Amino acid sequence: MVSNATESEAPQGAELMRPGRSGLGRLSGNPVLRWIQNLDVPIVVLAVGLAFAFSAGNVQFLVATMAIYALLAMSANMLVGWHGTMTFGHAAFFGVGLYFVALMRESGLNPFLLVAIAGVLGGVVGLLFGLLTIRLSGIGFAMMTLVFGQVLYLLVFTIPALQGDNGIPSVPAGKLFGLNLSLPRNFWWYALIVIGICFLLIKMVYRSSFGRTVLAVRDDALRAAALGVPVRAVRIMLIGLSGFFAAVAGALFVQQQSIASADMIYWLTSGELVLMCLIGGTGYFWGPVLGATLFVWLDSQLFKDISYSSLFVGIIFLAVVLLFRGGIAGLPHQISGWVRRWRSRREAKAVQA
Amino acid sequence: MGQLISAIMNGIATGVPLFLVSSGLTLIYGVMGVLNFAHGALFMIGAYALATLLTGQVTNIGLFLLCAVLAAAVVAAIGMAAERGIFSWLYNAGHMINLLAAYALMLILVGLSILIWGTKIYNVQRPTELAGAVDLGLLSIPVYNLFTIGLGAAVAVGLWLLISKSSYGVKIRAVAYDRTTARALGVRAPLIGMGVFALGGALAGLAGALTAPLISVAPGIDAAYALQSFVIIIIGGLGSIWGALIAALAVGLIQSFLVYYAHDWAAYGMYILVAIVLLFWPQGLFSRSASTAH
Amino acid sequence: MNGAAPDERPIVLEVIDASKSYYGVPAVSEMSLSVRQGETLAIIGPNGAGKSTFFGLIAGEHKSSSGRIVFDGTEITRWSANRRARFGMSRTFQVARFFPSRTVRENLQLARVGRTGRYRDIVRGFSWAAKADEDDVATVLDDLGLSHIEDSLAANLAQGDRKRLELAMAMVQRPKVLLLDEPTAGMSNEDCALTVDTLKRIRSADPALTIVMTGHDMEVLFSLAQRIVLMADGRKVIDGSPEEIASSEIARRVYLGDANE
Repeated sequence: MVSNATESEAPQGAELMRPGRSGLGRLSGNPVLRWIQNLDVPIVVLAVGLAFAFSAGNVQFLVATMAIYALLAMSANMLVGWHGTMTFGHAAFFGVGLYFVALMRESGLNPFLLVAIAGVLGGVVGLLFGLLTIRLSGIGFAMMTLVFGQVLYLLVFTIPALQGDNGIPSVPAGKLFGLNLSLPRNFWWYALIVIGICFLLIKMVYRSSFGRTVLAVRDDALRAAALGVPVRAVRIMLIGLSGFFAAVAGALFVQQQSIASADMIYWLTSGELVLMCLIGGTGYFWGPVLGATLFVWLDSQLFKDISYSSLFVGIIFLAVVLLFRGGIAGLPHQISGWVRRWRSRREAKAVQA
Repeated sequence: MGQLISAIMNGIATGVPLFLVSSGLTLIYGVMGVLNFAHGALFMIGAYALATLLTGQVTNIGLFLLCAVLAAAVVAAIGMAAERGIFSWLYNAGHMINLLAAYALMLILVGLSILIWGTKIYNVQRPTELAGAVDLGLLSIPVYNLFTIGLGAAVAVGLWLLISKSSYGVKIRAVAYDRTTARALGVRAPLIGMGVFALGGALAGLAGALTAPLISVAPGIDAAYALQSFVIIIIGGLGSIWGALIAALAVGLIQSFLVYYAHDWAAYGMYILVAIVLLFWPQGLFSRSASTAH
Repeated sequence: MNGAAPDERPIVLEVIDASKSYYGVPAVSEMSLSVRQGETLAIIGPNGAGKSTFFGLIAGEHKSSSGRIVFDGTEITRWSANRRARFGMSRTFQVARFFPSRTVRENLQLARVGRTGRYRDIVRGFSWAAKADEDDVATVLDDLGLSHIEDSLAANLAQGDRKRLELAMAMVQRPKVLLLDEPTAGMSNEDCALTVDTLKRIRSADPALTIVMTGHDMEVLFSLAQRIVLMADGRKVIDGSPEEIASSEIARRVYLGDANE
């Protein structure tokens, strides 16, 4: 693979997906399925909301956490899955939202407003980062995301107001329309609505011309450039959007957990995000949601008291990388591929006999 | 003045284990196209292995060295096993897939380490001959630092001889440049792969063993050293061992100077360095894009 | 403009003393070229003559070490490839490149998006917005015989269809200058003949379109081009009509490698 073109402007995430017949972003031919595909976000949000509407407080707390991570993973997948660009610093944008709301804990501002501003901040930081890394690609870019994430991590220790490891405690969730959001039930609906809105926005971007262009750049950046697409500008914009949603997730997270601390944005957390996307399936819109849900469940339920849990996470991850690159969402397609090949081999044998 | 020399010596001594870890990392990337995220874990296992072998006792330099070499051998074996078990299946899968596989390996190795050694802190003692400091009037230099620097220089020379003067080195460079052609010319690429992973592992394990007496051996040191070695090979240029050497020494020196003169900024040293370097040399200091192409 | 005598048509593309070296080895040396609107030009030369590099300089794939390029009166020497494409320069690749995970129709729609700048739109749905370009896309699909597979995944296309898709993507951009990199490379005789036919149709359909080709298939290039430029060792050797080149002693020597030349 020695080539003159730079260690490829082309992102290499394309191998992670098997486009085939169920490639990323394909609208079904069947009209009924098509309607479902267009309305999937509201349907899912409503279904999930109703499913847990009357659950116990701690269950709602857990599911809200899953939803927040789902949003975070989704924002990371905008880079990893849509654009094919690996990122190991995404926790930094999460941290922007996290710490912004933590610092504003005494402002008494409307929590929704805080989340929105946090998002904008995350978007701006994303744009800046995109500009800084404009000439980098592939491994170099991935490493710089790592560096960037770590610099922000260090800042949390250096800037006294951010209190490093000790964390900023007692961050109130706030009151919305008179409802106290620190109650799990209220927070659940609040988070669901905010996340639902974000998912609608993400879906909108995904279906837009910009989104399609991003998918094209993932396939072949050089070709896209030869067609007039300003590949670098597109990536910068994408990082900005991705940063926005990650920061929203961070803001919601601190509102739920009431505490912000540095370990939440260590680079290994960013690695976990990539894992979530992969396990769920980077090539499918809902993949990251599946991955995040599974991961949070494993982490908080199954692996809760196991100190060596990373062993199991690593094995799962390895299995996905070696065997199941389409992730959970890609399993149906993968299995149907196996069945097809098994069938044709059987037919070939029958013909020979 | 004394403080200046002290800072310099300290910086070089800090840079040596960083060089050992980074050289293995950059070698594996340059030859196999794998950015080994698990390299920090290999370092950590080297430290744990030494701690286990020495069981906290103070020993003489001979035994210490023997155990350090054994620890490095253990890690080399792990490296080879990883190559056979994981990376040999991913030769043609591209940088990103290999990187993710290495990340998975890191998680597995860290988990295994905690399973085997638990979360308590291990302490390793310096051998008696190397415990003190050399008093030079203006300053005193820890003997262990001198030992480290000497060992580092020996390894650097050994690596250089291996890569540029030996026939094995020629084969390594051939595979790094163009695997397919190398194989067509009769180079046994899978053997080279195993060898490079073993060598990289040995270097990381040796670094871990060397650093063990200076730190608390506990979970988490893997992440710190992994991070530093990534930044170092970016600065030095992916695939370049010279670059790893220069960059590791630079990082060691910068950190040392910052610790002495601007303590609060010490941790930022290498990030400032990488930002500056990438501004002028986006591919790192010593990258030769053609020869590191994969 | 169509009725103007060939030499009165405006110069649409001008390369002035362009050079490009790789690690000190010159691939193109002080190459100059003026192309008039509506011309069909072919750049030929033996292997290593520098045709591909020169082609890449025009397309923006490589940056020249020196010299200037002027397109439609505007200095584009420092422009990136994507900017040139938006300005009206569309190109094809020797080995067909496209977006495998998208359908044939979507590939063309994406080519339109690149040209019109609609990639900026993060709000309006792609399929909805694509309606504006629907006619263009449908016409090109028809012209290039791709209508029957417009909803197939590009990854699943047969070899001949791939090259056609490649050409379709360039055509749907309604370029001022069409750059064709070895348009018949690796094609069977049938596909070759089909491609030549298609290109002849494109040629006659739009007299204002300027076509610059490069390649090795003399029969094809000579039958399509009105003007041939022969390159050797990174320089222009001769520049003339197909008949002039075919009967040129210099051309023969370049190809047969006379040591004294």
